Amino acid sequence: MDLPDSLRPLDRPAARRTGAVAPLSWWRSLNPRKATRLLVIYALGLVIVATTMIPVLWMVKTSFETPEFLHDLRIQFWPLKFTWQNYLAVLNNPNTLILRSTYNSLSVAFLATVLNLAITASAGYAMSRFEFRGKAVFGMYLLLFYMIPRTLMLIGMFVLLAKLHLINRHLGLVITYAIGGIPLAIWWLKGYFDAIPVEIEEQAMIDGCSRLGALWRVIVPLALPGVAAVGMIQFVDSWNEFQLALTIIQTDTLQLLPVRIVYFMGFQRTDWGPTMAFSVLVAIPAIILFGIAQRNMISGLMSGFSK
Amino acid sequence: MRLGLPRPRVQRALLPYWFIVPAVVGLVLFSIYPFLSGIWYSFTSIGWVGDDAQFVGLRNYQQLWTGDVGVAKLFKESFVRSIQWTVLVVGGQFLIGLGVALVLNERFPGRSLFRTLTMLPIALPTVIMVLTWQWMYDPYYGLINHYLVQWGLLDDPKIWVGQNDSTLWPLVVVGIWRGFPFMALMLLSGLQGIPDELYDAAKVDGAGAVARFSHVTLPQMRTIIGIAIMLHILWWWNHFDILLIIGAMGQQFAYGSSTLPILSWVEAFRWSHLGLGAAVSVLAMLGLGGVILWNARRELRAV
Repeated sequence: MDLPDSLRPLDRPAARRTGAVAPLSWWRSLNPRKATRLLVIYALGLVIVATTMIPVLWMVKTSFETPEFLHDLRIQFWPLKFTWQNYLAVLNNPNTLILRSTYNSLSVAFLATVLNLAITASAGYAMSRFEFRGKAVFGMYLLLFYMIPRTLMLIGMFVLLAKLHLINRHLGLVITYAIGGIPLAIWWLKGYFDAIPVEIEEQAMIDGCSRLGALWRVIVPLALPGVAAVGMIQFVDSWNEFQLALTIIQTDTLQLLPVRIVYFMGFQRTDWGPTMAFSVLVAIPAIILFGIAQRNMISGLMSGFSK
Repeated sequence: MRLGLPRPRVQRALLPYWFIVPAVVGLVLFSIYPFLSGIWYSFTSIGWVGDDAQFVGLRNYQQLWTGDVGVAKLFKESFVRSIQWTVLVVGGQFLIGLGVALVLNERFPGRSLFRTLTMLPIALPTVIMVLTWQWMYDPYYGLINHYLVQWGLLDDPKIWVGQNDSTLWPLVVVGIWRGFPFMALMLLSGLQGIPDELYDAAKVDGAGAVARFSHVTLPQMRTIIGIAIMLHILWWWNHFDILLIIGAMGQQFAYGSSTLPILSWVEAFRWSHLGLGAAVSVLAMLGLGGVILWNARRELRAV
C-alpha cells in the first residue's frame, strides 16, 4: 500500500459518505437479507473506524486551527480557519529543539534497527535451520523475556549502563532498544526463514556453493523482504519508545522526540495548537513506515502470534 | 541438520552456535544480568548509582509492607489500583477487540480499508496519542466535555485528569482505546484460522448464528484467546506511558492514579531510592506470579 492511501484517513468523512451511499444501487440487486447484513456490517464498521480514528483526526484538525478558533465552542472536524501557524510556531521556537531531537531520534532508531537485525537475522536463521543442544532453552527464554517487569529490568540496566558510562549517551539507548527487540524479531525471522524451502539451499550447495556462499547468494535475497519488515517494526518501536528515553537521557539537547514533546507541552500547558502540530510531525515517519510495511507488518504479527 | 555434506564434525557441530552467539551474549548482558541485579538491589540500601549496595535483608520490603503512612500507604493503594487498572483495561480491550475482530472477519467490499483504519493507531507513538487524549479531556474546550454536556450526560464541564483526586476511569478509557486494535488483530488472526467447513457443517445441522459462535468460534479460539489475554495482562500490568504522562508530568505527581510500575519508577528515578523502587517492582512481579507461572506452563508445552 502506498503513502496516499494510508493517509486517506485525513479526509475520511467525505470518503465515508460516498462509501456508504454509492453502493446503494448495487445493493438493490442483492436480496434483502444480504443487503441488511451488509448495512449492519457497514454501520458497525463505521463505529469501529470512528472510535479508532477520531482522536487521530482531532489531533490533525487541531494542528491546523488558529488559537482564537481553537478556543471556540463550535466543534467540527475541519478547521474553522485553516492555518500553518502552529507548525511555524513549533519549527521556529528554539525551545523545542525539534531539528536536534529529530536527528537524535532518527539516528538512535536507525542504529538500534541495524544492530538488532545484525543479531537477530543470524539467530533466526539458526533457529530455523539447525538442531542443536540448548535450542529449546534459548527459544523458551525468548518467550519468558516478556515476563520480566520492565521497570525492574530498567533499574538493573540503569546501574549497569552507569558503570559502563553509557547514561545520558545515545549508545546506551541504542543497545537497550536493540536488545529489547531481539525476542520478537527472532521469532518472526525464524518464520520467514521457515518459509524458504531447504531444497533451494541444498541445490545451491550441490551446484558448488559453500554453506555460507549459499546463505549469501540464495537465502539472503529471498529473506530480504521479511528482514525489511522486521526492521521497520523495530524502527517504529524505537521511534515511539518513551520510558527508557525519559530515564536514560537527561540532557535536553540529547533527548529524543517523544520526550521532547512532553517537555514542550509541559511549559505551554494550554497551547494545544503547537503541541498537536508537534505531535503530527512526530507521527509522520511512523505513518509512512506503517503505510509501506502494512501488509508485511500485519501478516508478520499474525503469523508470529498464531503459532 | 538436514544439509548433509561432508565436513569436519566438530566444525559442523559448532556452526549453529556461531549464529546465535551475538543474541545470547546480548541477552545475558543486557536482560538477564539487569533482571537479576534488579532483584539483588531490592535487598540493598542502594539509593543512586555509585552508592554502595549494602545488603539490608528485607528492610525495603518491610518499609512497603508495614504501616499505613508514606510509601507503605502509596504501595497498598497502588497495588489495588494496579489490579483495577489491569482488569478493567484488558477486560474492555477483550470485549471490544472480539467484537471488532468478528466484524472485520466478515466478507464485504472495502474490508481492507476498514482494517487499515482500525489498525493504523497501533503504529502511532503512545506519547502523542496520550497528549491528544489529554487535549480531548480539556475542561474548557475539550471534545469530551463538549459532547457530554451537549448530549445532556453532564451538567457542567468537568476536570477529568491531572488532579490529585482524579479517578482512574478516564485513564482506563485511554488504555482500552490504545490496546483494543492490537487485541482485535490477534483475535482476527485466530478467526482466520478456523476452517470454513466447520461453519458449513454447523449450518447443515441447523445451528443459528449464536449457536455457531458459541459452539464453533469460541472453542476453536480458545488457545489464541488465552494467549492474547495473557500477553495483554503482562503488557498492561506493566504499562507506563499513559499513567505517567497524564498523571505525573505536571508540577505535582498525581498519586491518585499511580499503579505499581509508576510508583516503582518514581521511587527509583525521581526520589533516588533505587533499592526501594526495585522492591516495589519485585512485589509487582510476585503479584503477577500466578498468572506468569500459568502462562509459562502453557508456553513450555507449546515449545
